[in-house]
Amino acid sequence: MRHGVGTQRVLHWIAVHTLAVAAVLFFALPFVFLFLTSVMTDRQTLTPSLWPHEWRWSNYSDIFNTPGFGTWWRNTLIYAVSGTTLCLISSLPVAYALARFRFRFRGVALMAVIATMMLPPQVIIIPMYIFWSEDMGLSGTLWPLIIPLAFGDAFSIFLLRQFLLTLPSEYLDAARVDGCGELRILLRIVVPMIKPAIAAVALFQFFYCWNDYFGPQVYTSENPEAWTLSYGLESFKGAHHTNWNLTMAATLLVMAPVILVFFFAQKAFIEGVTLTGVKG
Amino acid sequence: MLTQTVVFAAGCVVATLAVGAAFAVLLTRVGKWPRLILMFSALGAWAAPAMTGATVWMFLFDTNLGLVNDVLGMDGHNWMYDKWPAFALVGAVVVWHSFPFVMITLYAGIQAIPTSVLEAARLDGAGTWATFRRVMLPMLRPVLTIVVIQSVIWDFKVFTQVYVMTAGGGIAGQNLTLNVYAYQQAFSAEDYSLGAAIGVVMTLLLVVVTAFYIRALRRTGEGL
Repeated sequence: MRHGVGTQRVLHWIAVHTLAVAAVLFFALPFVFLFLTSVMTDRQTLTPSLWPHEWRWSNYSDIFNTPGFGTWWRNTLIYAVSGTTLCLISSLPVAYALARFRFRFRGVALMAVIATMMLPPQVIIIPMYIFWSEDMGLSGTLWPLIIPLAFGDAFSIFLLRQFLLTLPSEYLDAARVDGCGELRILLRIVVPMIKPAIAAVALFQFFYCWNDYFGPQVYTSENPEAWTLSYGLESFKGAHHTNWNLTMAATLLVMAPVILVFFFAQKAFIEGVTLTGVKG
Repeated sequence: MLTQTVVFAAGCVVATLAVGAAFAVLLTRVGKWPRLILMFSALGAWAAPAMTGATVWMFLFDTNLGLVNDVLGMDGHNWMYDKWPAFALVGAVVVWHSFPFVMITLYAGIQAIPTSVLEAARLDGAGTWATFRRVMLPMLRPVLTIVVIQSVIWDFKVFTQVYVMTAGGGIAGQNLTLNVYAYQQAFSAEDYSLGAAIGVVMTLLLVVVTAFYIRALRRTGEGL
């Protein structure tokens, strides 16, 4: 009997860990092939062998010398950094008001924010595009991507509000009694208390901007000077049709920064992920 | 097209949830190191831009050079040629990108169940299945509802993978979904009004989903 339980436990352990290994392979293998292919020679890419015969690191410098790549890189950085900053500055006060003030139509306002969060960008893109290109004459630039973020972002507002709800109100009341204005409460008390939340929201927004493909495609496609990495990669793929090694090297360079940022900040990230759901 | 948009999104949702839930349970069963490695690699997949994920998978499934065809001995087979295999492949990439969210959220949800509750159930003579069905499932319901609806919303929004992998809707538009179609009509065919009309249809679809979402938030005591 004891023996039976022991064997069963071992079998169970093996089964569970086999599954875990399979799962890791499912996630990680594409990255491994991505890397291995990216350092192959042009000729070897066309053969089925998987391990690079000679490691051609120069593929990477070739990418950097590709006309446009540096510009796309710079544009992506501008979009991601300024977009994230503006989004935080504009979303935090809204989230604070929705979480902490009682006012008429608060429910309606919150509902509007949630409804906005659900809409696919394709739904509102047409009026937006007509506005930015015809009324403002800004298509072909990064402005139509960045400026809207200065007016709040629904997902960030929602996420920050979820965090703010968890703050004990005693602190805020104490500050109010001491004669602190709402803006000062927000900056001096709330912000230091929800630093992890702000980090999580900043990360989400940074990732969103860095990964955004649709926005740049709509607004910047006419002007290669304003392309971002995601969108530029598509044209790079088109131009290097059979050079999978170069395409893979470029792909790796596009995803490397986000993966790096992610690994350094994964704690804040997981907090953000769980908060959208679990906190509910 | 409405049908295939809904079927594709629904398929992605079901697969994402099933795989995500399975791995969430798996995470609770393995030791610390396998768990960390699994979480890292899953979140790596999640963090990768949709565009790059799609590119890598297209390479793995490439007609002549792809690893998958090599391994299966199906050189020259084009995965994007038929409608449903193409959808399935795009769906697999969507799932690859999106289920880490489900996995982490559910894992956190499972961890939040106090062990004393599970122990009490076991002392009362409940088996594994009964414990899962009668104790864990009801306790996870709020988390589950939100994960389900969040996935529905995300998978209806999928644009990049469909657009990039099927080169804008597949052969003769067989893999068009509503949002890709809206984009094409508006920006390639310059028929803004048709594009906008498609947008209205999508909005209606999502209003229904949103209504469910808000009800779910209410029921979990969120209170608007």
